[in-house]
Amino acid sequence: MRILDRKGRLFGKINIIDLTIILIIVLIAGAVYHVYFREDESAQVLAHRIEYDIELAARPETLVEVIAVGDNIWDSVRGHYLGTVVDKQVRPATKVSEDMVKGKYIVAKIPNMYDVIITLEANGRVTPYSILAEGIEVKVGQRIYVKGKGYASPGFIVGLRYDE
Amino acid sequence: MFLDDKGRIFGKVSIIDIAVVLFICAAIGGAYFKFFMSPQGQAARQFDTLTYQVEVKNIRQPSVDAVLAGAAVYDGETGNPIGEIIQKKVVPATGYIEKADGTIVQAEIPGRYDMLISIKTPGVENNNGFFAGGIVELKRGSDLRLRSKRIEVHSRVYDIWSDEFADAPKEQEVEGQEGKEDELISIEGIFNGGIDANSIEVETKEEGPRAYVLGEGVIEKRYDEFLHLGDIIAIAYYEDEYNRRVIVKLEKTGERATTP
Repeated sequence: MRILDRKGRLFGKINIIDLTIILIIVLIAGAVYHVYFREDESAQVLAHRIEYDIELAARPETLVEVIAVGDNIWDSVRGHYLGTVVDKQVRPATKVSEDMVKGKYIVAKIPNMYDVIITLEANGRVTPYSILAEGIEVKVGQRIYVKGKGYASPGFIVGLRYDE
Repeated sequence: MFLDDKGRIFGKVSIIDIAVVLFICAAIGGAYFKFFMSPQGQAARQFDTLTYQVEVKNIRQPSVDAVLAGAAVYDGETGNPIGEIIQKKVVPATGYIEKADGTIVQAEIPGRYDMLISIKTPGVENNNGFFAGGIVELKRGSDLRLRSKRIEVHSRVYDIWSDEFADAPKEQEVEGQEGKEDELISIEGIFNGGIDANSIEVETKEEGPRAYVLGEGVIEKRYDEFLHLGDIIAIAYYEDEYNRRVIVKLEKTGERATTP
C-alpha cells in the first residue's frame, strides 16, 4: 500500500491536509489548556479556611435584623455557595455629601438605614494570582450579590484574611 | 503535471488546502509574536528593569490596605505579569465643590484616598516605548487595570523610567520631613473641630478654614484627645506634589478663641 494515494490520502484512509488541520487544532487546544487551565504546581492548596468581609451599605432595619451568625450565604446572581456568616457588625449608614455653604464634604447619617458588615468563613485556595473562596475568586473592592434565607442584598468585599 | 485539472499539486494535494494550512500557520506565528515576543523580536529574557508609577484615585481604606508592598501585579485585561509593588504613597482624596456663592473650592473627601503606587518590572525600553515584560506597553496618562492576589483597581500610569538612565528618578523612599525644612511655612490659626485620622482643619484670618494633612511624626499623636474647638495652634507645613499642605509640627499655643 502506498503512503500517499492518488487522492492525497494517507495510506488511502485520511486526507493529509485534513490530518494536518486536525493536528494543528489539537496543538492549539493543548496550548490553551497549558496556559489557562493547568494547575500551577507552586500554588498553595490551603487546608485552612479563609474569612472575608462583605459590606452591605445603607440597608433597612428589617433586613439587618434577619441576618444572623450561622446563616449560609449564596451568590444571588450565580447561585454559588459563598460561605457561612461567622460575624456581623452593624453601624448607622452614612453618606458623603457636599456642604455648599462651607465648601466642604461632610459625612451625613442616613436616617433609619444601616451598614452591615458580615464576615463569611469559607473553604479557600490561594494561588499566586488569586484567592478563591468556595472556588470563587474574591478580591477586595469586588461587587458581590449575596442572599441568605429570605433576604438578599448587593455588597462589596472589604476584607480578606487567610492563614499564611 | 505540477497542477492537475482538479487543482491538486502533482495530483495529490489540493492547492486550496495547502493555502488554508499556510494561513493557519501564519496566524499562529503572528499570535505567538504578538503575545510572547517584544515589538522588536527581543527575547523575553533580555530585559532591562523598568520602574513606573500609577495613580489610583478616590478609594476607601480597605482598598488601600489591600495594596501591599512586595505583591506581584498583573494586567487585568490580559493577565500578563507587570511587576512587583515596591512602594505606595497615600494621601486624602479631594474633590471640587461649587459653593452656593458660585466659587469652586477643592476639599478633602472624608474616608477616601488617592494612592501613588511604584512598581518595578523586567521590561524593554526602545524607540517605540516602554514594555513591561516585553509585552504590555506602558504609557503615561493611559489607564491600566492593576490586579494582584487581593485586589483589582483601575489606575492611570503616572511616570515611567528605565533603571538604565543615570539621571532618571531613583527608587523613591517615603519622603520624610528632612529636606523639606527650608520649604516650611509657619502659621497660627484656630482649630475649628474638623479632625480625622489623616487631617486636621485650621482656620486663619487670611484663608478661612483649610484642611491640612497630618504628616509623619505628627499623625500618630492623638490630637483629637487634647485639641478642642477654638484652640489656637501653631503649625509648620510644606506643600507636597499634590499641592496638599502637610503638617510637620503642631503645637497648641492657646485655648478656645472664638474668631481668628
